[in-house]
Amino acid sequence: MRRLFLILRREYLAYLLTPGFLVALLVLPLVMAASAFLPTFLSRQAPAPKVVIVDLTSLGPRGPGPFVEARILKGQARNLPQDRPAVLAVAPASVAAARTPTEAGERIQDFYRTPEAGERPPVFLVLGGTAEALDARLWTPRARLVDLSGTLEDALNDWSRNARLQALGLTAAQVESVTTAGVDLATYSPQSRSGKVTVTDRLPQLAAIGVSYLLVTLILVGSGMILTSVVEEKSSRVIEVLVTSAHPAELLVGKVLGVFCLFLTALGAIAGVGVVVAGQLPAGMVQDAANAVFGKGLLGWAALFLAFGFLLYGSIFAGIAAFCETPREAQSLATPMSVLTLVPLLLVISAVQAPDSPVIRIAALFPPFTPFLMLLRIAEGAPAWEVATGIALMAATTAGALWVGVQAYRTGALSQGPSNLWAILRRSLGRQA
Amino acid sequence: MTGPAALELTEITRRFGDRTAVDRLSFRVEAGSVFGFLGPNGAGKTTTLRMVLGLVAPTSGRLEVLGAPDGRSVRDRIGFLPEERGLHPRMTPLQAAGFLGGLKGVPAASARRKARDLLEGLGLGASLNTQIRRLSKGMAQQVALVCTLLHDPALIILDEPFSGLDPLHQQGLERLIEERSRAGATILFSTHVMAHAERLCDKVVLLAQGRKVFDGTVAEARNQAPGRLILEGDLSPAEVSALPGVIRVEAGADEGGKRLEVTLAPGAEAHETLSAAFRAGLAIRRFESREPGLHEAFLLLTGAPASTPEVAGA
Repeated sequence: MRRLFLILRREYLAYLLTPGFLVALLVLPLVMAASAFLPTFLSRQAPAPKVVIVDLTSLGPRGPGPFVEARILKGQARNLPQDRPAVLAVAPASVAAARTPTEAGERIQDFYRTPEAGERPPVFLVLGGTAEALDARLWTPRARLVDLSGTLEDALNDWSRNARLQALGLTAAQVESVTTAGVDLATYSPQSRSGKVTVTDRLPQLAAIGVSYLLVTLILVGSGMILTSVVEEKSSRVIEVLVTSAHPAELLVGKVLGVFCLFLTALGAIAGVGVVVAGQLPAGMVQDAANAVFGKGLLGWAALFLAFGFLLYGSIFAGIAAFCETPREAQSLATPMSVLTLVPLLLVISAVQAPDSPVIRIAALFPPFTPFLMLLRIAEGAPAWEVATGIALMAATTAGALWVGVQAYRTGALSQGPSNLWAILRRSLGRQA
Repeated sequence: MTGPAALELTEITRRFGDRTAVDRLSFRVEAGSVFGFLGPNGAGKTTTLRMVLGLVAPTSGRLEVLGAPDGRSVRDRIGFLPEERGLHPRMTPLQAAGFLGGLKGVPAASARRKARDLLEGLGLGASLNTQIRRLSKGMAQQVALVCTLLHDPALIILDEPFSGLDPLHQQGLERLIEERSRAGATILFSTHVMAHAERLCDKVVLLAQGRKVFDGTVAEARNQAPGRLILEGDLSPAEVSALPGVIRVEAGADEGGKRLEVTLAPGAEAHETLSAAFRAGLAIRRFESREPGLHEAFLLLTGAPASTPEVAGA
């Protein structure tokens, strides 16, 4: 244990004390804060989109143009990317004089080419046709992924529905009553403390998904660190000194846990930011969230599955790395393994829709998937036998992976020359311990 | 008389597939001795050392290391220096000492203190806190050696310790080996530089193509090689060939007379051959006796060509 701790500590400090990690540790909370607040900030900085409505329908004040105008004036028409109410602009004289939507389109194109259009030309909503067959065209200076079309289409659909309801003889008040009618469906569950299901009750599932993503990130990032560390030790021959000073299992587990502790440090920094953010939330919400995470032992389970999952995959990566002479060689061998870790993640995404499906229940019992899926199953109230079986199989497989990793590490640490995956397995498993 | 063995190999064989790296190797290293493990590159020296350390299992045969079946269960009593420096390049010498000493059970503070003393003694006091990657190979090798010695190992195994060192560093390393030997440690080192073995070793084992070709003292090894006599004067090869101990005579031109290079049989004494020559009344104007060295014995026993130069720096 003493040697394992020393190796863990060295590995941990070797990364922790690098300027890169320290800078990353400081920058990470800033990046998280920026990712939370930047979209809103940018949205507030952006100017409101300008809209010109050209109504050629001859329907007068009850036409679609005035209806959409009213929506915009009431601030009910929002544009997604900018999250700002659109503002109305007056149509240029040339466009306003158009008689058909096609003619209006030609004049709008001419207008966009004139200096009068300015740096921020407006979008044009050109409306023609009849009440029964409305011809609606949106002209924008640039084609964009997200624009006002969805918002304006919703407004036009509302106008069209209202017009038809009024044609059927409904009064304006009746139309208003029909369009605002709706039902608020409340969800209740015996598992919910208050009976009514709230976001807090769904936190365990969210946490389970979060842990799965965290584990994939940990494996993808951590495996790279383990690979680099082992290859560096091998190329500098440190590994020869180490294997004569400690048992290969101590070296391998110490190395993997060292990287794991480093990851926990980064998580601690993120948690610190979380605590600061939680301080800004209403007290009741914080209490509910804390109960959801700590109350059901979710944090303990999450830690267990993270540790087992990383040890399982980390020992395999370390064993593979021991056969490689260069980081590039190690990376090419480890890439298929990294890609395989995405398979459980895909299952997690499916499991959110149907956590009780037989496929998910069975997959959660098998070790490559257990660290990713069992937490979700626990959050769903999986029976004790299922959890116990999953953990027992995971522990046994992790021990097996550790054994294979140690054999590979011991054999590979002293080998030289090009690596061959089949040779690795054959030599590792055939070697006398 | 032989003392207790620190290390004993009996009929050890190691095969890698069809290739036999070490073939029925047996030798014994007495406790407290300095033992040279000699052989050309690829002779099986490193494989043997790895078997001793328990890093590679023998295919057959028996090992005994400090009373244990291999080095794994007595790793805290063994100090091993691999051929390359074997240190984390981004650590400083003191950090490396704290870490590697710790693995051998030495408290970090004590390991650092001891390393400081030893490194200052070797003239590396100014580099104690310099990253190892910034040190020269010789300096790093000395740091590695110091880290090997921090736990006062009973058995010190050094794989090609003189490789790549300049004469000054080689001298420092030799001094350190002698000090440890005087302190009672058993030292086993592999090398293909015979001069170090001649100066340091009580006994040597010579390996060639995985097989032991010699096991004994340095003097005994020298006796395996033929001595040489240079004779100048009015001499004929035929009368010199008749002298006792002579196995070959080669004639060479010399200013004002004949020069003969005489090869003696292994173990033959040059002074006996010379006495016989004088008794026979041969007209010898000048003679020169060339005692065989370990280098000659090495070449002879390993079957290497006589022109093989000894490694620079020896």
